[in-house]
Amino acid sequence: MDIQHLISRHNFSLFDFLPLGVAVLQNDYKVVFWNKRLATWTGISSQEMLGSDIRDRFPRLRQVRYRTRIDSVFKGGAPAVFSAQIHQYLFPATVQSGESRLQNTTVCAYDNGDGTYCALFFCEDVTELSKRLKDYSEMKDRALRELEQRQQAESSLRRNESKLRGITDSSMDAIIMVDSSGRVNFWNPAAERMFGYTGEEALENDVHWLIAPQGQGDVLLKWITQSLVIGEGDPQNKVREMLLAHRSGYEIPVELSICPVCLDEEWFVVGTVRDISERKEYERQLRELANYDGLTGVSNRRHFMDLAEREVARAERYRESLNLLMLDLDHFKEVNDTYGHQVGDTLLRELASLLAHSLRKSDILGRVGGEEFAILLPNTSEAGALQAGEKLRRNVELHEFDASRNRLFCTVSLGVGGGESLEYDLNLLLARADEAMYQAKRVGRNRIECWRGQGDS
Amino acid sequence: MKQILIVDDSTFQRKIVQKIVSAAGFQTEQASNGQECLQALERERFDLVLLDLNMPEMDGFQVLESMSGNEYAVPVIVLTADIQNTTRQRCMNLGAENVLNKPPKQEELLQEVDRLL
Amino acid sequence: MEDISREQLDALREMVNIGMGQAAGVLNEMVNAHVDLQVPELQVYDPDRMSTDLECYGGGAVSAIRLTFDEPFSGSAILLFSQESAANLVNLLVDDTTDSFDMDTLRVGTLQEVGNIVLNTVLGTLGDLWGEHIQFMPPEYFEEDVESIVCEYKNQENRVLYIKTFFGVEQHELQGEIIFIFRIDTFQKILTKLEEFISS
Repeated sequence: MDIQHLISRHNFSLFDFLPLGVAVLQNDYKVVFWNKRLATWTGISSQEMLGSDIRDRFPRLRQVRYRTRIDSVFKGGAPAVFSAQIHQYLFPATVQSGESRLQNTTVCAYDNGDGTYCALFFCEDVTELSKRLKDYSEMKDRALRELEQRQQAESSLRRNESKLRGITDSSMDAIIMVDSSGRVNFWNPAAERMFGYTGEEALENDVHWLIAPQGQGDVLLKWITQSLVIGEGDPQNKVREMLLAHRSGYEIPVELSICPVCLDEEWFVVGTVRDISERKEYERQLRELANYDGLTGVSNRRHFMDLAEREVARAERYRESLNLLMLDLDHFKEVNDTYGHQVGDTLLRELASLLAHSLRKSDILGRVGGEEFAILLPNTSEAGALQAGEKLRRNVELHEFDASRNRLFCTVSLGVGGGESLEYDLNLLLARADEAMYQAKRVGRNRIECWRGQGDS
Repeated sequence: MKQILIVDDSTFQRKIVQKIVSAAGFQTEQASNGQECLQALERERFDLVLLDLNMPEMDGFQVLESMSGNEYAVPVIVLTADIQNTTRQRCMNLGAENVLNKPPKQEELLQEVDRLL
Repeated sequence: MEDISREQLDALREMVNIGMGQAAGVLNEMVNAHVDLQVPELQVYDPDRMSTDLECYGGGAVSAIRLTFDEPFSGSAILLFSQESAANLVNLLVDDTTDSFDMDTLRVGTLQEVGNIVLNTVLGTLGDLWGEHIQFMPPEYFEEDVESIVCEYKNQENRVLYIKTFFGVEQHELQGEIIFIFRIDTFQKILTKLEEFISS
């Protein structure tokens, strides 16, 4: 069909108003219509294009991939789509910057009414869109990368946290962290066990209210504050033994070490608390062992001497009187020989107990030999000592000793060390009392004698 | 009387071909897959095989391979919907005499049949 | 309403097969490689059943190209691709010079073009076989979840011809679903055509 005929028959001028590049070809590839937009884009005017074979200007269209599909459209076939992503464009055009325009082109069949078809080319410019998509996808990639990095950082942080938590969870010592106002912000399981408060209960509460024993809150507070003030001070003075309180009020001897810690420019104090009850107990036992006679439970010689020295010094300071008694169990050897050492031991134990109960609170009793006991009597004159000693002698004499059910009776011999004048020499007193005691034995046992100045040694 | 074996999994397709071929005076037998085709070739003597490619269990290619190994000396025309050149090439390499596209045009098919018989 | 008989379905399958063969030819030209075809699975049913068959896409969005056609045959043809197939297709069609685009934007254009070709080749062939000229509208590309796609057709008077296809190109696998939705009266016409073929 004649081009002119076609052009006059169909008014394609409406296509000028579309926001698309539009071309119409008849089935011999001759241009029937070339809209204004296409003219602007390609720089080729409508006049130049009309009636010419489009493939002369745009030889690309001779390629198989275009030819076959366009031919099919000319036969009335289905629309063909040439996407920007695969083909970039059908009609080369540039934007201001010189870059190629990207076009999505759709080619549709248009019935001429006589069994022949024209091909309508609709070119959609997607240059801007592509750029936006590209930007968007770069942004997306960046965001994804950042997300990945953050996730990695988080997961490594979590691993770290787990590790630390593993350590603090397994520690036998209580680990507590408080902020600068004394509020707890970390409380490990050992702390829960030690003080009887769960983590939830302890957190955000004042540590003094939680663990300081009655009336001791300040000590703790002062120590913590000092530590915070000093800041990074060395841990030297940061270990102390003290008593802290369990929730129930029960006091626990502990060793507490504290250390200031700076996190995010804020100062905190981390305390490690070790329960030393057991240790204290051992210490006490050791002390006891050191100080007390294992068999009788009264002070041993050394301890007696310590205590007695102190008392003597005190009495001297205040110019008070004091006296000393030496006491020996009579015929002890015979008892051992007759009844055996075990009975002898039991006997001694009972005697010690009897003596202890017969004395005043201020009197100091000690086992100073096998069957020898010393008693320091503060604030006691010679007469008073005699009286006290006599009382003891009588109590022993009258007492039925069980001694592992042997029902024994026994007696003691006593010596009084202090004379009329005040003596503040312990050793002297002991020596004199000893002498007096021997005198008592010589004379007949079961009696008390005073030192009569029979020569000091 | 020349005998032609029609192989295709589609009943419909076999019917079409059978109509064309029998109208031209040939005897026909049908097989619906490669297995049946080979079995039929074992049983009887055929003068021509009209073979589809896309069949379940055993397809046309496998049939061609079997046949070339066994020297049945029966010519094969492949009738396929697949218009690709690559497919055509493969069939010819496997020994097919010709490849025709479906749907088979009566004239074209009969021409080929005559040529080979 | 008349339903499709086994014979008619068989005839239809054969015709679709021919259409697919043609499409393979066109694809071959596009990707410059041989395209393996398999026998398509065909089913005809009511639109409500569509969701079951499309369950394999999970709940996510699918890439779809739709071709609408009108008188004398009314309906839509939808080609669905899974993400993987879409990616494979892109790999086949695009050479490295176009590295200014990322996968997402590439996918759209590619699918549109290829989907368009496949659909109109298959439908076009069917049209040719039936001696009818089918009038196509330009294709639409969209990404939707399966439910939304199905919803659109559920309430109308439609019959669905569901075709599961498989193309293999070299090492790439392209699996797609083609759904033809025909208006009831169109479907009846098709059945009549098929019957003509069978009896002739």
